[in-house]
Amino acid sequence: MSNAAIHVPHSHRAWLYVLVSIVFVFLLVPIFIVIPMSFSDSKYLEFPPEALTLQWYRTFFGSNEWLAAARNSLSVAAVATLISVPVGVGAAYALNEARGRLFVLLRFFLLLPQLIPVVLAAIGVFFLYIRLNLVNTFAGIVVAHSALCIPFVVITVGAGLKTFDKAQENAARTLGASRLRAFWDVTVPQIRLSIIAAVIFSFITSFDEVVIGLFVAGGSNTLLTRLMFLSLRDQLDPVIAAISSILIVISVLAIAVFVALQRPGREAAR
Amino acid sequence: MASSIDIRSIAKHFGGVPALDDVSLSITPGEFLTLLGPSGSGKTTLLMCIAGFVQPDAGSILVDGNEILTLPAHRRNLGMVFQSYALFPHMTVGENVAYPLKLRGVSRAERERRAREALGVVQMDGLKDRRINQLSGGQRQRVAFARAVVFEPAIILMDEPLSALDKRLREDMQIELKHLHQRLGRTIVYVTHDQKEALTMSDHVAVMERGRIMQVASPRDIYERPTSEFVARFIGDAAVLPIAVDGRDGITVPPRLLDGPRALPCPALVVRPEKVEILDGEASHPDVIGFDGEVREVIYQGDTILVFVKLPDGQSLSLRRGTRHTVLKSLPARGEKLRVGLRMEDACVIGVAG
Repeated sequence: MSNAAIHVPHSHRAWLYVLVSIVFVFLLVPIFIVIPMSFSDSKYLEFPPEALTLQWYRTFFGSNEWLAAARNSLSVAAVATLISVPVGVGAAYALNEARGRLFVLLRFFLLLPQLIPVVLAAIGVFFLYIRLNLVNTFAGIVVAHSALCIPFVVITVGAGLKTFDKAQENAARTLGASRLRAFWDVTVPQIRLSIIAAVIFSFITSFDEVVIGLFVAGGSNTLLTRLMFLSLRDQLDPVIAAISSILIVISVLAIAVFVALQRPGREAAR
Repeated sequence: MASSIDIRSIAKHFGGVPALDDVSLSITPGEFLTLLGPSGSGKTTLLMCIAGFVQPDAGSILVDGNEILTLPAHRRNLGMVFQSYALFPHMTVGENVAYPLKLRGVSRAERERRAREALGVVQMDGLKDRRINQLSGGQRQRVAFARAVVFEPAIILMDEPLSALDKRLREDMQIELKHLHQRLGRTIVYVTHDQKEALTMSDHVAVMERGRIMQVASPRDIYERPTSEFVARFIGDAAVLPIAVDGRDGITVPPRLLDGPRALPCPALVVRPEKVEILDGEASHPDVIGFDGEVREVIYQGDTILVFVKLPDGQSLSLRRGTRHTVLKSLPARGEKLRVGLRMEDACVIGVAG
């Protein structure tokens, strides 16, 4: 298995480099083009910027409307995460334990919110919420977002549980721990990376969500993404580029924190 | 200190398939009992019933006369060593061993003292700050044992704990566990599919097949006095030769061999290879059952040599000898005729299916 034995000359791998470059360009450029745009002094979205200004950041932090929407988005994402992670971890645990056709079906149901086109989900949620008087309520948005987050939690935590030796939990039980205590003392520390990943995914999923928010998150509960979408429709305001840049930085930081946590954790888990 | 276990008429079905079929077994305090059987025989299921991870459909399990089936696993106060050891990789060796004490609310200082003591018993006290992933298989085995005994359970369950080790280490650990058992005096229920391991370590061996206990006896009796063809063939090598009675085909044996407390309808003789002698020209001895045969094959295996002998009626048996030079020199070659014998004291008669 020495490297020399499978060495391929760079010229033979040129096509790979080209392919990877294309992937990078199409994935990353649209994301990072936004950041210079947010510093442009033009009144419209413009690239490349002719002169630089912090005006759009000032506008964002000076606007009650924008800040209220940002606060709404943060609290909805936080509460949706607090709901979807425990529920999703429980569901993943149960699905990992259980065998049988019923549970295959159950798993499918849990993943459904991410499988169907979100517009359909949004329309369904909207009509249901009219009946239930939940349109434009905090509770309504949180419940809809939690449903969207749970599939991510079930998948990431389920993957974590697959590599966990179930005998350890049984061992803890013979040593005197109740099932819950065994889960908490033995299982959770070893799947904590998947749980952290689930928290990050859930938070970002809710925070980024636009479509359901457009339908059921209006009025005083307007979310940041909805306000961005509406303002994008009315005028191409660089404030949006400023907000997007802030979101990009937050997301990159979150992923960086996760990757940093992962390294020592991986070793300890072995 | 040690407890008795009384298993009464335990039955368990998995989707209509019987995994345990009316199993009863009594284990005396301080006994080392091994459940031995091929995979799927129900030995692990029975152990899991005692541990509390499998709830039987019927029956009862009494520890010192008290029913334990109604207790959840964590209230049964049993130490258990798992096949995979199931040590907690996010804790150090010392934390692993102290964990059951922590659950029992033992103070920190006391916890450390007792964990050190338990690790001392398995000669691991120097490694208490190690991480589990820094230990070898044998060391993990010892830590798992220390963790299972540190809270002084009256009963220790072991589920094929040595199967992940290589042969030499496994044999060393068998002796070590046997000594630990003698020293600690706890009741041990041990599951294995390795017959030699069972014979080496146990006070009693319960041989299981298809959810039933076929025989419970001391290692010596299990080997020398099997009561069924399954046990005779599962443990060690054995030729099972039907005996000619009531006009049935088979070998002829002195009638007094068949005088037993119970008359078997279809008796058969169990012949262990190492108990067969070669009779060279001696006059027939009243205490030896003799057979005429022809050498079919001679196989050299290093420590022993195996000779397959074909009897005139088509059945065959084998004999095993150590490979001393004088033995090798005197052994007959393939195709030669010879006369072999089995002493009456070494003969075991069982009933087989007609």
